[in-house]
Amino acid sequence: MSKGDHLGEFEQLVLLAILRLGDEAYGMTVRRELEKTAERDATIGSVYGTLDRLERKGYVGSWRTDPDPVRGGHRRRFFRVTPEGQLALARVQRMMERMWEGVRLPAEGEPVS
Amino acid sequence: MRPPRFADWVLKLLVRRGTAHDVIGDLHEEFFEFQLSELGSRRARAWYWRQVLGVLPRYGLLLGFGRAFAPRFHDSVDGSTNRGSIRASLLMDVRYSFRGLLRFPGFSITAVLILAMGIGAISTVFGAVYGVLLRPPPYERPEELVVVGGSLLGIGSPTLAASGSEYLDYREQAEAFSDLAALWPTRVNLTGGEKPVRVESVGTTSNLFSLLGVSPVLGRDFREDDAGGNIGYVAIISHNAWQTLFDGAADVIGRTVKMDGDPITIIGVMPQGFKN
Repeated sequence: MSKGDHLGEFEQLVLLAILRLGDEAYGMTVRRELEKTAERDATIGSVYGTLDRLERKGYVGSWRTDPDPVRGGHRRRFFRVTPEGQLALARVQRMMERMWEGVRLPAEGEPVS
Repeated sequence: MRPPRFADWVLKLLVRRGTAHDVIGDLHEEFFEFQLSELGSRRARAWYWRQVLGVLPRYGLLLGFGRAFAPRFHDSVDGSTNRGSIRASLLMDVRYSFRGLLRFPGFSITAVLILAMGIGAISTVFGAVYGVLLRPPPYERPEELVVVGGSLLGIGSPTLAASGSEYLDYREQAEAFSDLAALWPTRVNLTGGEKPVRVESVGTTSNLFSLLGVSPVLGRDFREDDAGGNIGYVAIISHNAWQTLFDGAADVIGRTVKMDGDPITIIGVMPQGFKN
């Protein structure tokens, strides 16, 4: 696997946010999901930058809806994770599980050795 | 209350159309649905600007520039190596710096203010130096102009003005000059306008302006017969004097004023910017 196929931390978060949001995954909701669940204060620019990069890698697909008056007549651009994107996420998950195997971090309140 | 229109205009101007509309739509939706109620109108508008400024480094002119010079250029949050030219690497550094400046606005504003003060100071100094030392005088062939005077080194006077009779001697006998004019600066009381004023004045031989290659824009130049002529003393005034002392009146030519009590007729006005 080439280095470019690995997912960065933020890319993983964005993919997971899209999966969590299901059919409601577009720029604003992805940004707010990151803010709420991952506690990451991401700007809309960083979210779109990552989404575009993931789309170039083939890990997400996007489509636009009709113009919406709520959004000042602008369309919504929805995203979904492609099968390749899901495979990439699964690879990362397995890799992290392997790396975590046998590692024990002190619980809250325990002294750090 | 609505999002700042200028922010939307900046986005549309600097970001490609599709992305700009996607972003504007999302920002509008979040602004009205959440930010206004959560933050209040002022902070919501500040939030909006922060979001717009966060888009520009990625999608604005810088990114377009980068793509033009390094088609394989991209940045990656996982630290993978960017392939591309030195220019692409430099562009990435510029973008990271720009993002860093956005993250620390206090520092950025301070840096900008210091730069502005420095640039302002340098511009002022250059303006003064240029005006005094570098700008060529508004005369014809200024490199051929010389000031002729005398000196009495024995009494410690390295420069002295030439006397009237010395001027006449130089005119008759000196062969190095194509022409010679004499002038003597002074200050006089001018009356006859709205109120008396004390002005700088230069007495001169009639050929001064023709020697300098400059002509009045109104009226006429001095003539040889003006000295001691029928109309008495004559004067050519500066453009600034015309505007400030005579309100730029079109009928200033031929007007008689008094200079230290003596009547003097204005016969011309020099071009703007021409000074003693």
